[in-house]
Parts: sequence; structure tokens; C-alpha cells
Amino acid sequence: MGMCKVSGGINKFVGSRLNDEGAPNSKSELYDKFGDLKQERWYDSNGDAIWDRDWKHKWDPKHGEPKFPHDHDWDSSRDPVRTNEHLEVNSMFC
Amino acid sequence: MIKNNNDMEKNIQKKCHVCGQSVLSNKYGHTDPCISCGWENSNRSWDFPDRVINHAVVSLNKAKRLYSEGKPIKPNFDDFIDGLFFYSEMKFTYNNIEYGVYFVDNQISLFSEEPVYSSRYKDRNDFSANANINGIKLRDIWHEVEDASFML
Repeated sequence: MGMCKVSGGINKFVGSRLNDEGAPNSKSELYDKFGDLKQERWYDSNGDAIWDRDWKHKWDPKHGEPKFPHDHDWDSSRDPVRTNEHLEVNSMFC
Repeated sequence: MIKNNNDMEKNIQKKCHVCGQSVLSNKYGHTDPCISCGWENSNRSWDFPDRVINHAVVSLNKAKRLYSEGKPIKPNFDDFIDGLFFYSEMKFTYNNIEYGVYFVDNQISLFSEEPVYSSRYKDRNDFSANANINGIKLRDIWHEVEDASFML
């Protein structure tokens, strides 16, 4: 089961961040003031954040630019809750 | 014009969890920054009042305490580290330079793009005790830091 057709709809925001809870089974998109997509966030049936896709952000110049876009999963049983790894884009979330 | 799900409309009147000022929230308790104290309310912060999960990088209970003491609702260095271990990517500004903090190869990286700066720490304790900018410990200059928040 994928998250490409989100029954809860897609909400679009311009600003600096998204909330970690939203409409059940929805997706939020965050744009900067220039209209560029910065982040997508998917929410589960409880409205809890479950998956992020980062399209751009600052990066460590000595380590090199991480691949963009990259994904982060959310797991409330873990520290950090939002994974510290830059995951490959998961096609289940689109 | 962006037209979102009706549930996102901030049209439910409620009281700010920190200062009691009237605010407008959506169905999920999200409000714009309170005009009185600046707190962005959410049901999640209410449900977990001692956790650093809010955009302010301060727990709700701490925000209430700071407000009652007449102090700005700003994270200290330990709050920032709690935020890092919640969100995994953080940023702050010091001396007009924006720094990022995130995990690289299971270490914690503190960096800036311009000017180029990068330092690594092996774990939370190491970062807490030793994070520095050009030899100056971050904990010691934290009071001069601005805009500490989740990175985007």
C-alpha cells in the first residue's frame, strides 16, 4: 500500500516548517517564498507524521552535498524520532 | 492562491496554551504565533508538554515557565540538543552566520557553508561537552545564538 493517492488530501504551505501532525492520510508540501518545493511530509491514519522528503537544505561542505531529494522516516519509538539518515527516495511515497 | 483542506483553516477560537491569549486554531490545534507570547500552539505539544517537539525548540511546560518569569521563549543548549535528537537536523545563527547540525556517518556534524566550517562529535555527550566554533564552546556562547530551530 503506497502513499501516492492520499485520501486526506494535499495541503500546500509557504514558510519555514511543517507540523508533525496533520490531516489523517494526507500530505503537506512546504514551499519557499520563491515557489520552490522544500519539503514534503506524509501523515498516517492517525495524522502522525510518518515520512519526509527533503528537497533542499543546508549541508556540511566537508562531507559533501547529500543527495537531494532524500527521505526521512518517522518512528516515535526511536531517538531521533525522525531518522538521522538521508534515505533513498522511496517510491511508495509520491 | 493556496487553498487547502478545510481542516487546515484556523477558525476555531481557543486560548494560547502558554499565555491564555485568544488565538485561532485549525482542527489539529495549530495556531499562528500568538501575538502575545509568540507560541505556536498544537495538540501535539499539549499531549507531550515536556518534550521538545514544538517549532520553538522548547517544551510547552518550559515555555509556560519562561513566560511566567517574563523571559523570552528561547531554547537553551540542552533544549537544542533535545531538538536534534527529535528531528535529526537543526540550525542556528551565530554572529550572522547560519550553522547546521545533523548526523553524518553516525556522528554529529556542526557546520557552516559560508564561511566553510565543519566539526564532528561522536555522540550526544561529546557534542554537549565539546561542540565548538573555532575553539569557542557552543554551550558558552549559546546566549548569543539566534533562530535556533529545526533545519529546512
